[in-house]
Amino acid sequence: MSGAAVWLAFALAGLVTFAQRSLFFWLSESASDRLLPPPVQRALRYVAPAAFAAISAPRVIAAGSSSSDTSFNLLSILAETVVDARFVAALVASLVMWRTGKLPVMLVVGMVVFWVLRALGM
Amino acid sequence: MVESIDSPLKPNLQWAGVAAGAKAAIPLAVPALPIGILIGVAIGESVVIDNLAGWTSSFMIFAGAAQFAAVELIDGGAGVWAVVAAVFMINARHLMYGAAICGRFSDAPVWFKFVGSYFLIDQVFALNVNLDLDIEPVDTDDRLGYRMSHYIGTGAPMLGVWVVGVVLGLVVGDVIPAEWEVDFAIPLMFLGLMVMSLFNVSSVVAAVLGGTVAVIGRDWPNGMGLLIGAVAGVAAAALVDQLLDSQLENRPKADGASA
Repeated sequence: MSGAAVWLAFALAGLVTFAQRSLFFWLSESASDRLLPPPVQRALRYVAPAAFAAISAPRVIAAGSSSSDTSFNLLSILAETVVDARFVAALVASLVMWRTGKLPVMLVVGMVVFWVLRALGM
Repeated sequence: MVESIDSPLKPNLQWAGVAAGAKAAIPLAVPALPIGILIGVAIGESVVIDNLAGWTSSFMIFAGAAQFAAVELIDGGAGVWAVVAAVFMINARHLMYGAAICGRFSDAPVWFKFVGSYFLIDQVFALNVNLDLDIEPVDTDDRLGYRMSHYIGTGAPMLGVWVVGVVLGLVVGDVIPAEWEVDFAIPLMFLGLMVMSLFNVSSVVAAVLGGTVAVIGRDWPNGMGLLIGAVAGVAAAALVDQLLDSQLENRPKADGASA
């Protein structure tokens, strides 16, 4: 790719991203009522839990494995996951988050547990 | 410009809102810094991407995963359209974010719709979509103004940290040893945001299914596992809602439906 093409690729990628983010901001009230009727509005409350689980889970559960491995099955994922420092730290951090509701506390506890387990050779 | 300037409906930015937003964003901005540095290092090592173009892409794209993919694709010799298509797929979840959050800003001025769209990253969505629940003060008569202020207060530090992180990666290079695995802070942060967003049985179903599909689809191209996982989670939760509703209807009235 030439220097100009690199700029073009970044600029277009930025425009596409902005367009995706802004589309629903520009809808008129009537258009938005048509596109997003009450049942859809209710469903959209679940975007945050679904999306954030989908972002984090692959990097917490069996973080080292690949779905193209021949050994990729439920049992091997489970066996690999329960002894993984990432998973254990994530589990502890989630409990902390659930009990305290404080993200900074959750992050510090999670990272400390993770590093301690790594230091212990997990 | 039909509305008069002193209309009572004109939302005003409020420092309290900006400050509350910034305060909420700090724990999310800290883990973003090392990731910005990593992208800066990747840009610095690329012979195809010059540093200025790479750094500029931080605020042109303003989405970590998509920017990383764009840098790697360009570096690997992909064409312009391949890059754009990949970024489109990786960022498609933002359409859902926009749909979920736009109702809170339907009366916002045009300038805010530009700024709000630009700032709609994962973290800003997380911190603003449920604002009513616990953060938004009830005693302000300009709720829209407060929402806008809070939104900007969360978005601006994220952008600042991101842009600075990429510069650090470019200029200083690999300062953080890879064996520290500081990048684990990112999934940890999203896990925390997920726990924060759980509010009923259906939301748990959304998270479990979204996470499961994303694990199964971790190697699908262009972040498809993430996108399909998120959509499947939302759909399943809506379905569970319907099932619970119909169960409630079939039962004699005991109490009002809980929100």
